[in-house]
Amino acid sequence: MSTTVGVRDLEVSLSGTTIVRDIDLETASGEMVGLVGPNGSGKTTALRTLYRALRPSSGNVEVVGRPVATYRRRELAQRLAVVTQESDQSVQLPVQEAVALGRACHRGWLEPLTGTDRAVVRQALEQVGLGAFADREVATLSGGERQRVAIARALAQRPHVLVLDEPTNHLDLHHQLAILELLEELARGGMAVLLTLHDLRLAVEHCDRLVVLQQGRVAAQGRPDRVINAELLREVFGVHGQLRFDDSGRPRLEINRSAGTGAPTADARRGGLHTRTSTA
Amino acid sequence: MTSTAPPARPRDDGAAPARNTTSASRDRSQRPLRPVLVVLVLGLGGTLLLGLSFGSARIPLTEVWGILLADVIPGLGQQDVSAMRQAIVIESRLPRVLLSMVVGACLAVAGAVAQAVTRNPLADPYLLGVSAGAGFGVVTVVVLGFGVGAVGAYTLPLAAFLGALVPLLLVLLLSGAGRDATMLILLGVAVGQIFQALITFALLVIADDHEIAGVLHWQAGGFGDARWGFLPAPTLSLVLVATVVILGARWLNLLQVGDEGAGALGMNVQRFRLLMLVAVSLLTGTAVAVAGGIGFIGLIVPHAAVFLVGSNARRSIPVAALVGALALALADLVARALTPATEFPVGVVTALVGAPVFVYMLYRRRRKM
Repeated sequence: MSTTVGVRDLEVSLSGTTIVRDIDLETASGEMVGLVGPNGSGKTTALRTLYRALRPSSGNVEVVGRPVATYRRRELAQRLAVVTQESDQSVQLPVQEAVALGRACHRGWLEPLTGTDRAVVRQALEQVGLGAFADREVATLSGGERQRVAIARALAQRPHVLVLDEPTNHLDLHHQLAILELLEELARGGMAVLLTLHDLRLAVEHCDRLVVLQQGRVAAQGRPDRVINAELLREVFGVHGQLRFDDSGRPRLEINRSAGTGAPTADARRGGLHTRTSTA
Repeated sequence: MTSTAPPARPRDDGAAPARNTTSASRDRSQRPLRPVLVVLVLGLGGTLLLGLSFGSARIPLTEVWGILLADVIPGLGQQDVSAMRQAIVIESRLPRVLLSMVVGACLAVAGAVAQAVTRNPLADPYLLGVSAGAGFGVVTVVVLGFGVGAVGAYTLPLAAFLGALVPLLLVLLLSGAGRDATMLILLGVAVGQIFQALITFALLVIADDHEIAGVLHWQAGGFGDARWGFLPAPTLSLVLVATVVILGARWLNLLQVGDEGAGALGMNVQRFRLLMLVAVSLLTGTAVAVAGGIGFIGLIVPHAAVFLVGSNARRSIPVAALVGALALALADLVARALTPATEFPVGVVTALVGAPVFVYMLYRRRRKM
């Protein structure tokens, strides 16, 4: 297992306001890491620095052993692939052409698609279970299928790291699980998968490790069964609940009720960064 | 741990029955490109012949053919044609029809690129205020009298082209070289309004009736003044831009996943958009310079091209160019047919025909979705 993403002391400010601070984060190949936290805790902001959509105010962001800023765009795209939230909402191409866009970073300016490119695209479609959909228009697909198209395109980049921003958003239960199971499978295949999830239950059940963000800082990180406990649930997520284990030893999150006024709201955030540091 | 994940397979979401209704959209993007191009080129050829034959003096197609042949290969074709008719075909109608085709193609490609780089289906070639700027250039010459007749018949086109560059530069400057697509559109609207206001002011406050008529005539757009000398500039910009755009079609397609997604796929979105906006302005500027501000072609034709062959820019851009050429040449024919004695503004024809076509396409698309 080698480190694929390494974030040290990350701080990001947007128009004078510090959004995240002191973020340390690491992913290794073969593991699935969930970035969790309440709304506005800085999950997406932290993620966006990885693919240079945001520039950190300070700190280091490394991908496969090099600072992201030193990569040419295409080199970075060959190592780290992203599935953003807006990814395939307005794509109007047949599925295979939408996926072939992922090959752009491997081709010269005017180079046409080669046989290798086509083979990679086919394989990526098979991997996400869309082999039979190659000729369908993306616009005619369901939300879950579109998400798979976006993931297939990311796979066509042949990256070391796959980064996803809320990949289960807007999906029904069945498709949420299907996507997460697919990602787990990719991690088993040796890829590093880093994703944000606002559904803590899903994160606990599917991720190898969790990084819990609270008001722009890392509140805790580690294996779900070590990180998630009643205190953290109350302090960070504003709910009463606990972690249980089912017969097969898998962690299950049990949420009972909201913890009243203890919920970390946007109002609390306006008062500045919380002074609380890691509990893990 | 979680080794229960089954191998990925297509998951049915219950939407299967609906899929059969989408076969049309599938056909469209898989449709072979060549037959579409062939039909369009044949249509252009037919329109060209019609355009040469048709007019205040009706010249039979056979005679038109003879004149063309004689012009291309001296000694061949019809020799006994009056010099007058020969002049009408070669010096007046031929440049006019060709110019309408080139301008139509320019506007269509410019519109297609503008819509792609802003990801806005309502964007058109004039989104950066180019037509208002060009109009302001014309007003400067006609009303304020700067450089009147400096370069003869080319004074207005030159003034229009230079005027078109002003809002482009302003918008690019204000938007930080096109960093944000929405910002670009809004700035284009704002800057365009300023120039439009300046035009209105000049027309209402300074200009006399004769000058007003001159500016309005130019604004309505048309090919009544077409001459061979008008052809090189828009033709060159069309060839240049179309080549770049078709070769770089993949990058236009990449923009479909959004700025952030395209950036993460290895694309320098901002630089590409800047390049494309300059290309759009070059096309539009040269088109407006020789033909005035003709509307609707740049808005509708790109949608028609997508309607015909799907959204892949590598296919839709060449088709848009041909459809644009065909549409504007036909519109000019109609304009000439409506009022043979005077000039019926071609922009009015494109709007009157274009708007219903647009509505029809929207309706069809809605039903397909």
